Amino acid sequence: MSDRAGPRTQPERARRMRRLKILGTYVLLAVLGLTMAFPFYWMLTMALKEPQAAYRHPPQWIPSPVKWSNFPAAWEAAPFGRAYVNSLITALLVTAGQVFTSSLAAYAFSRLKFKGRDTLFFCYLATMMVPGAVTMIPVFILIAKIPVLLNTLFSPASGAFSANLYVLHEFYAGRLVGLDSYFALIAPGLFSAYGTFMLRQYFLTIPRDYEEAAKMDGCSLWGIYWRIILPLSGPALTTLTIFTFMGCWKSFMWPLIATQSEEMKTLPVLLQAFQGRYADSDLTLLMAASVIVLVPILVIFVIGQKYFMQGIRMGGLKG
Amino acid sequence: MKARSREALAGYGFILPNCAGFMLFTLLPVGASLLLSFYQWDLLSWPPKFVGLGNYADLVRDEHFRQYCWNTVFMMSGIPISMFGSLLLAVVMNQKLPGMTFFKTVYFLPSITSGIAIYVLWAWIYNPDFGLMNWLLAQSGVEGPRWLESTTWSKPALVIMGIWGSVGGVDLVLYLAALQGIDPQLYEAAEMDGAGAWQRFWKITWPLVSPTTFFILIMGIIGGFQGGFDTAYIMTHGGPAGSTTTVSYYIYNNAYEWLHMGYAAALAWFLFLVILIVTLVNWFFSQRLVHYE
Amino acid sequence: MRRMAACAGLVPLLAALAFWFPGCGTGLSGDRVEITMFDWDNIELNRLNKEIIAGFEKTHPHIRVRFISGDARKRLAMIAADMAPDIMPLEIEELSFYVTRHLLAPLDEFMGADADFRLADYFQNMAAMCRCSGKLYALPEDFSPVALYYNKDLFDAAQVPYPDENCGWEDFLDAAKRLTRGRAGSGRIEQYGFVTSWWRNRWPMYVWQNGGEIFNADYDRCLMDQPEAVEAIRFYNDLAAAHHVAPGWAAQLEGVGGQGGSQWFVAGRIAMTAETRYAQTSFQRITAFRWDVAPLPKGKRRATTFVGGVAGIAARTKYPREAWEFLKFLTGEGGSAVLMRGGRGLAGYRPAAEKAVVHPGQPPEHDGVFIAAVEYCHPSPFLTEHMRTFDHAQEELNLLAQGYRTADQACHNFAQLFNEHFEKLRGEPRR
Repeated sequence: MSDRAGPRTQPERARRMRRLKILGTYVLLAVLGLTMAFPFYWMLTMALKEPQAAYRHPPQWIPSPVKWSNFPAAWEAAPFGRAYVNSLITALLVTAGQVFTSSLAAYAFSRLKFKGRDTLFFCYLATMMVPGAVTMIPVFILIAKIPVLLNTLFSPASGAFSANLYVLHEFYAGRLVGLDSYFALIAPGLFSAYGTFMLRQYFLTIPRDYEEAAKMDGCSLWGIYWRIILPLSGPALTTLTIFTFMGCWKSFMWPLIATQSEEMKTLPVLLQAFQGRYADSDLTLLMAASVIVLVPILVIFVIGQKYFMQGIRMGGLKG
Repeated sequence: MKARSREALAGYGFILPNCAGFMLFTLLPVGASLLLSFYQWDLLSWPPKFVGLGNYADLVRDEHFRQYCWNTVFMMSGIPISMFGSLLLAVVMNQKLPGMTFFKTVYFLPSITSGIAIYVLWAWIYNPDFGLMNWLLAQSGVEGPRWLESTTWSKPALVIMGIWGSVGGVDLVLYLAALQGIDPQLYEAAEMDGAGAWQRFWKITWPLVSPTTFFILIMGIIGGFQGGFDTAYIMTHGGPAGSTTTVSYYIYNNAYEWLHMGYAAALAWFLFLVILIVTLVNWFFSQRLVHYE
Repeated sequence: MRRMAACAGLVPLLAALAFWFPGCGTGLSGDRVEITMFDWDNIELNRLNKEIIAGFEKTHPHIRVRFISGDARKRLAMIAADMAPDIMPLEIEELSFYVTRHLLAPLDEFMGADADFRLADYFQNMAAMCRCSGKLYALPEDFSPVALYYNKDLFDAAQVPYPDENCGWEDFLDAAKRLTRGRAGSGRIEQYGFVTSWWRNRWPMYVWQNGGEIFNADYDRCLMDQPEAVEAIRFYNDLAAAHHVAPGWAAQLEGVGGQGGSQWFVAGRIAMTAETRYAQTSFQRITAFRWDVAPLPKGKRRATTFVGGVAGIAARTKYPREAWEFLKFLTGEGGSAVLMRGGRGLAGYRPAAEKAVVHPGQPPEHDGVFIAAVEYCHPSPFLTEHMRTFDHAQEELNLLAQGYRTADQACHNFAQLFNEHFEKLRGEPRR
């Protein structure tokens, strides 16, 4: 028999339930978060270990001694500075181009009626169903032959389209077109069916009331696209931007075969050089290099989250 | 009449920048690969040898291929689980509690961590003698299987690893975006009508995020049929006894290791047909189920 | 409508500006010839290759060498697009494949016309392997036989004599047993005597050492089902499966890029490992224990295999003379000195290799073992032409290592797969 005062009122009981629910939520999220963050943590510790400590059993959870020199050693071992520039240029241009052209196409596919619209859209979708392993060589041959074609057509004597580009007469900026050029790194990535598909789906969820009203006010199709659809698609556009940027940043196979000189390589391609041939890699150096490569994506993602939330608030979709 | 043709013209105009590049850099190589499937090519000699439907005939007779098809389908079983997990997680994280951005970033970490780091770590986790998995199982008195050394357990091991890797990634972000678009008044109204949490989920949340679900499912199917390459290439080398070889890894091996490019192209186009049919089926079903405004 | 078109056109214009803006140089001017060289992408190797190229360009100012690094897929793509690099590295297993597809230029005329060049300076049996139908298509550049590294401290602690050239299989097994130990009461093995790797450059030599062969001389029959081969495979597998002196399959999964297992040697958990000279770059970082190298155990005869490559000239090169000059430099005195200083395998150029294995005060003391091993090393018999069959056959051995097959079954299946394959090829050129 207890005289102890308990929550007698409904609101107090409800408040206690809520507090428990919130606590439970945080516990769940924290446990899950720990499992997600663990490989990242492990990667960081590997980057800070001595090579011999890398395979010790039981594994060393906290590196000691901490070998900070892995990072400068990795940085020295390959031209990371230039690779950062290449990755940045490529990722920015591809992202901008892709988001822009995909949104234009997605607007057309979702709002405008024209002959062959749905078949064409299905073609877009269909190309994503063919594995890249077998299209890679045709794209490679295509890119490799472009300067040859252009030279034969326009300047057979000087071969101008295979020219090397230099910045400030010193820095090799790749060829003009063809292999080992920024063109080769950027062009094939600009046109993606993924972005078009995703944006089309998102545009389809935007209520048509705004457009009807705008059309009555005499707004042009471009105006609708630019002033209504785009602003309302903040979250989708931000998401597409983040994913395209990330995908481009991490892309390995195509930049590997499309570049020839070391100056034109992007970051993931540099990582391959840290793997041993005929002998085991120095895993610690490889991990240090991997960390160097992924820091920007992490930053982009964190920053992107902020714009993401802003985009939603600006979108005014909540009532 | 004029308005309609103007709209059509505008349609083509909007598509043009994307479509032109698409035709050149995507459609053309895809067409080339289809052509390749009727030839035998080892990449090093020229010209390739024409074999007509020979590659496709070999494909039908290839027992290894049948096994790899089954492997691929099995490993796709994680997709609906991971998708549903992402949705539930998104619902949990959609509450206006502090720290959600932090958690979102943390959950995204597996998507950006170096693949090699993840595979080496999971290879250790699945080590049958002293890995984490079997240690945990031993604590509960269960003797763990040989995981990546076992022909029966290698696939489930990879499926678990796949679910872990993708539950906090792209799908979570997409679902969070979709959830943000749902009017909270709908939930309030439902709660006042006496609907429980689960009912609110099925009657409000699930239908309203269906376009996103549709997208994730389609991309999951398209990606899933072509997946499994990285784990096979870096981690398991397709073993043991080909139990973790997916069609995508088989295509890669045929193209670049064994230099049977034509056969690889035939495999790729067979895969394409499968994906196409499944996607079409999915599409038609979803026309009924997806809720657009 | 107009604004839309203008905007749509803005994108390619901006893009074009971005490309053109850096300013057009016309690239190479003057009358320098440019040849391309391809090699595997690796941070140490890249550094060495750049040094070699710099040295070459100094003495040959009219030739510029463009260095392209990548992996096998990149090399394939380049050849497929008719952009084969002028200087190509190859492995011996690929040589016949490339020669039959007319991708390599025969070197005999270059050698004949060149008074300075002496083929005798190269390791003779390596140079012999570079011949196809009597013609020389490549020069040995950088390779290494497989030998046995051992942890001296662990040997001392177990009071086992160091392995030497008189070690046979029994001595080897005995030493491995004495060097395998677990921690008292844990029931788990903490230290292994050896590590078995099933990489294709790590197991064939046991078959040869036992007097067996993998293929017959005409290369139309697989002899893995013969008793000598089966016995050898059984012995090798039993090291892990029956005697437990080597860890099982798990060791293979943990190695990244390498050929399985030696990272545990570096961590001091394994007393002996079969490795090439390339492993020394990571072994040199070992400070926790002393180590050395010895020949592999003897069996009925001595045999080992090697990894590494040769370099050839593309058949359709535009500048064969210049390419030959560079190939000579790369594989000869100039290039091999740089390679050896950078700690690779053995240079094909004998004087450089012999100089490199003498380094008093720095482990391994018996580095000369590798030079001696060149005399009895055989190339891997698994040619590129038969890679697909090989991958399936190798899977049989992997299954053996994982406990799904007995040695008899694995060897029998291995031979059967190859013999069926040869049946199908009957009538077509096999080599």
